[in-house]
This record gives sequence, structure tokens and C-alpha cells, in this order.
Amino acid sequence: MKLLNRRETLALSTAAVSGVFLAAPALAVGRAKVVIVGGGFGGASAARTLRQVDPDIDVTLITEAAKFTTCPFSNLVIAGERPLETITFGYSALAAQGIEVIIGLASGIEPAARLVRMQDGSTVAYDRLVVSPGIDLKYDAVPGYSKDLETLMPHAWKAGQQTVLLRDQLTAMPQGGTVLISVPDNPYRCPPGPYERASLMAYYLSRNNPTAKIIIIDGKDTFSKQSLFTKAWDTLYPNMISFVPFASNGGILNVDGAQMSIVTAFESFRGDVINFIPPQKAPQFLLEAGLAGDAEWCGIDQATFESSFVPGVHVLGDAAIVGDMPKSGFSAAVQGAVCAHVLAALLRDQSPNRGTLLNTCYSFVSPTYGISIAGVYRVTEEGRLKSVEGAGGTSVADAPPEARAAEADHARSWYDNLTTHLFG
Amino acid sequence: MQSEIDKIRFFDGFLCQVKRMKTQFGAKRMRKALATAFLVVALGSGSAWAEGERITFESCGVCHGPASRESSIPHIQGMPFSDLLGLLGGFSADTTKSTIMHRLLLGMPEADLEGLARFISQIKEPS
Ligand SMILES: Cc1cc2nc3c(=O)[nH]c(=O)nc-3n(C[C@H](O)[C@H](O)[C@H](O)COP(=O)(O)OP(=O)(O)OC[C@H]3O[C@@H](n4cnc5c(N)ncnc54)[C@H](O)[C@@H]3O)c2cc1C
Repeated sequence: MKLLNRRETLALSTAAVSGVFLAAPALAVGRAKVVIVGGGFGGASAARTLRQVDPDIDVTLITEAAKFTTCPFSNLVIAGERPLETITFGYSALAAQGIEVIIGLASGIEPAARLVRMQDGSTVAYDRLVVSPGIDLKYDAVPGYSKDLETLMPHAWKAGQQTVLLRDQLTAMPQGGTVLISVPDNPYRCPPGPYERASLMAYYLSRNNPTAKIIIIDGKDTFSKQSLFTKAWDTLYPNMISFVPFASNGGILNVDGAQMSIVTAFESFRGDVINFIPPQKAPQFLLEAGLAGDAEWCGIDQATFESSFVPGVHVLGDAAIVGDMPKSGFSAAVQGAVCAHVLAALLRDQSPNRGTLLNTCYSFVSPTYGISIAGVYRVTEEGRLKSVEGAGGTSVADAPPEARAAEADHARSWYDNLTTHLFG
Repeated sequence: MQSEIDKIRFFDGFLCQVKRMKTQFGAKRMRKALATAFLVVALGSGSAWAEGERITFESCGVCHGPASRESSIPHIQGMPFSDLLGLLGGFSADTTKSTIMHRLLLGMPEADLEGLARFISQIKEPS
């Protein structure tokens, strides 16, 4: 099947006139080519779904490393409940399905030429581009903090070596020591993630270092599933975790590596282990390509994921503002799949269908105590991907232990199913 | 093969969908969509409205995997239509209790439940 849409035919004839054929080599063989940057939740999902929906489209996945370690379930690794290998995946199954996998760092986008520029100087041509590269950490946003401190005070907000580092520091902490967790203001990747982390650290400490303390220094006053978390903390880890909202700390004035301290407007905190989670933004190469306008997150058409600023480029996952959907792996995977359907339609010059999009963020308060927040999203007539009123919400407040255990089991099944679907 | 009653339900579902699309997209785009929809139905390559369900099912599939995967989450692909409709209807009306499904389906319109149940019932997995 030949897949040339009007724009491509036009591009081809223009190219013929000007004698420039370099811009879109994929067109020469008459198959449409979708290039995807980022082999995480959004990108892997887009690649696999596209393969399934339309085998006539060539799919290339560009990703930084040969192995991908998921942030979901990395808090279980920090608590010593799972080895890192069990949350690390490769791309051989994708390659076996005919997806061209390029391991390398994309450093730029040239939308006029429809090219992705790679760090090694090579280029990759696309008919449509999907980017789902996750987040960049803002190392320069907090006084005293810098990239140099990320070994001393691991963020573990990108999983892998950072996760292991934080786990090892937690294990080595002296008896009765203090863990500080610094959490940024919204928006950031995985709204309930820091509180799941505090929970699972407390789970580990309550067994191995029962007089230890965890202090959460927050850039906001409330957080996701707050009443469910705090109620469970009171029962499972009494007096171990304290939450210091923005209103009680007044914001961070200085981070001091030598003193292992975080100085806020109202109080100074010293930690034996410091998990400093910096503020975040869309990756720099997306900002440089103009995909965020003058903002820090990428604006998109919420029905098609196509950039509001750069035609032909679709942005998914954490890097984008996807209506009311939170920055989660579940959301990114759903967006990747829906975007694949959109692309298959657009490349055939058809108008894409719409459906309902779902998200569920499970959090472990302990390995046998799960809670969740769910959302249901539809595109409105104004083109906004909005939460459906009345649907969604959190686990019930007074559920029996069996329900919490069931949700923990569901979380494990969710993870196994999704990672097998994407990488298996 | 579709049974007679299934065909009737099928058209029920289709007409509901048409009505919904009309209010969503306005009459003009509707005529275009309808023309395509009838073409697809006429060609016998599945129903146009099932495309929307297929997209919705991408979200379901994040948790509900194929039968070959062990899971604490029920396997639903290929379940009988009436069983599925009963389940989805119960969650949507909040009369069937579960940890999470009622939150995801609360208030979903009848036509959508039916379309989704039909789509899920027709999924065939390679054995
Ligand atoms: C501690 C923690 C716990 C979490 N728990 C959950 C959970 O339980 N459930 C849930 O749904 N979500 C969870 N999340 C959130 C989830 O990890 C993210 O929302 C999700 O990974 C976003 O998907 P993405 O596709 O946008 O980016 P990612 O999954 O991060 O994928 C991005 C990929 O792109 C690659 N990349 C980046 N830049 C480039 C480049 N220039 N060139 C080539 N490749 C590049 C990266 O290496 C990576 O492989 C958690 C997050 C954290 C930090």
C-alpha cells in the first residue's frame, strides 16, 4: 500500500522542482515513516500500537539507552523489596516486530526539513514525529542546589543508578537517622510518587531502623491521595513520617551539601539521607525546537497530540500538557496508543476517531496496602481533554484491609501486564 | 456469524452513536461521517463506531491483559456480550462494587456501555 497524503505529494513535487531530495528520503520508497523519540511509556506504546494498527507504516524508535528502567515500582527497589533488574527492560521484542530501534541521543528537531538531529551528527527523516522523552530536571532552580549534588542527595526521579544510590544510602543510614524528602511544587512527574516513596521507605525503616524519621519538605500545601496516605501512615508507621507543607516552611532558601541541610524560610532541616527532588520541565531539546512556545511544558492539540507550535510533531507523556491527565506512566502509555490510531488515520488523510481515555495511579503504602486515584477523560467540543465529571476519584476512605491488599495485587498485575505489553 | 438479535442490537448501538455524534459534531460533518460509516459497514469490514471503542479499549488493555498472562485483574476479552453489559452496567450505576471499576465507569452513557461491551465481546485472541 502506498501512503502518500496531499502534503507529502506536494513536498515531493516541490522537492523535484528544486532538486532537493534529501529532506524526506522515506517518501522515495512510498511508505510513510513515523519516527518516535523516547523509548519509555509513551514512546514504546506508540511504537507497538502503530505496528499493530497499520503494518504499512514504517516505525523508527530513537532512544537514549539500550535498557530502560521504569520509575513505576522503583520505590519498591528503594525499599529493598525488588531488585533493579526486575524493573529494567530492553527493546529486542520491539525490534523483532519490525520496529527500527536506534540507540542514541536526539539533540534537535528541524521541522522544516522534517529531520531529527542526533548527537553524533547523523539525521533521521520523518513524515510525522512523535516525542515522548519525559522530563528534564531543573538543576539551577533552587539556591545552593546543582547537578553536582545529585550523588550526595539523589533525586531518583529518573530510575536506574539514582534508584540504587538512594536505596544504598537508606540501607547505610545510622540507627535513628533522619531522611529528608524535598518535593517540588506542581507540575511534576507522578504527583503521588513522593508520598509512595515516603511510605515504602517507612516500611523498610520500621523493620530495620525503627527509631528513624522521615521529613517531607513540600513546595505545596496539599498532595494527591493525602487523606488516604496520612491515615495509613498513622496506622502502619506511627510518628515516623512528618509532612511540612509550604505554608509551614515558606520555601527553600538554600540547599547545603557540606552541612547536609535544607534551609527554608521558617526552619532549617538536617538529614542523614536527603532525597532532593528538583523542579522539572519538558526536555531542553523540545524547548529549543519551540515546542513549548515561551513556556516550560509542550502545548498540544489535545485530540491529536500535535504540537500547537510545530506542525507534524506530536508530543506525549510527561513533556506535554495533555488536558487534565496527570503525568503518569499509565497516562503516557494510553496517550501513545491513542496517538498511534491518530497517526494511522492522518497518514491516510482520514479524520481520526475519538474514544475515552483512562488513567489509574496506584501507590503502595506497604507491599500489601495499595491505594489508587483514577481519572476518565474525553475531548470536549472546545477540543480540551477534560476529566469527565462524576467519574474517577480515589479509593474509598474506610475500605477493609482486604480491599487494600487487592489494590496492591492489582498494582502488581497492572505493572506486569503493561511492561509485558510494551517491552515483552 | 452474527445472530439476528445481535444485528438488532448492533443497529441500536449504531443509531445511538449517530445521535451522539450529531450533537457533538454538528450536522454537516455528520453527513460526511455517516457516508464513511455506511461505506465501512457495507464493505463488511467492521463498524465505524467500533473504531471509537477500539480507542477506548486501549485504556482497558493497560490493566486487562490477554488470557495467557497471569493476573489478579480479570480477563475480559471475548466474554459474552450480555455478561459484559451486565457487569459494565452494574459498575456504571454503582450497584456492582469493586475496588476501582465503578470509578472508571460511573455515569457512562448506556450507548457507550453497549458499544464497549460489544467490542470487548468480539475480541479474538490467538490461541
Ligand atoms: C518514583 C516514581 C514512581 C512512579 N510511579 C508510577 C506509577 O506507579 N504509575 C504510573 O503510571 N506512573 C508512575 N510514575 C510516572 C512515570 O514514570 C512517568 O509519568 C512516565 O515514565 C512518563 O512517560 P514518558 O513516555 O513521558 O517518559 P519516560 O517513560 O521517562 O520515557 C522517556 C524515554 O525517552 C528517553 N529520552 C529522553 N530524552 C531523549 C533524547 N534526547 N533522545 C533519545 N531518547 C531520549 C529516555 O531515556 C526514556 O527512555 C512514577 C514516577 C516516579 C519518578
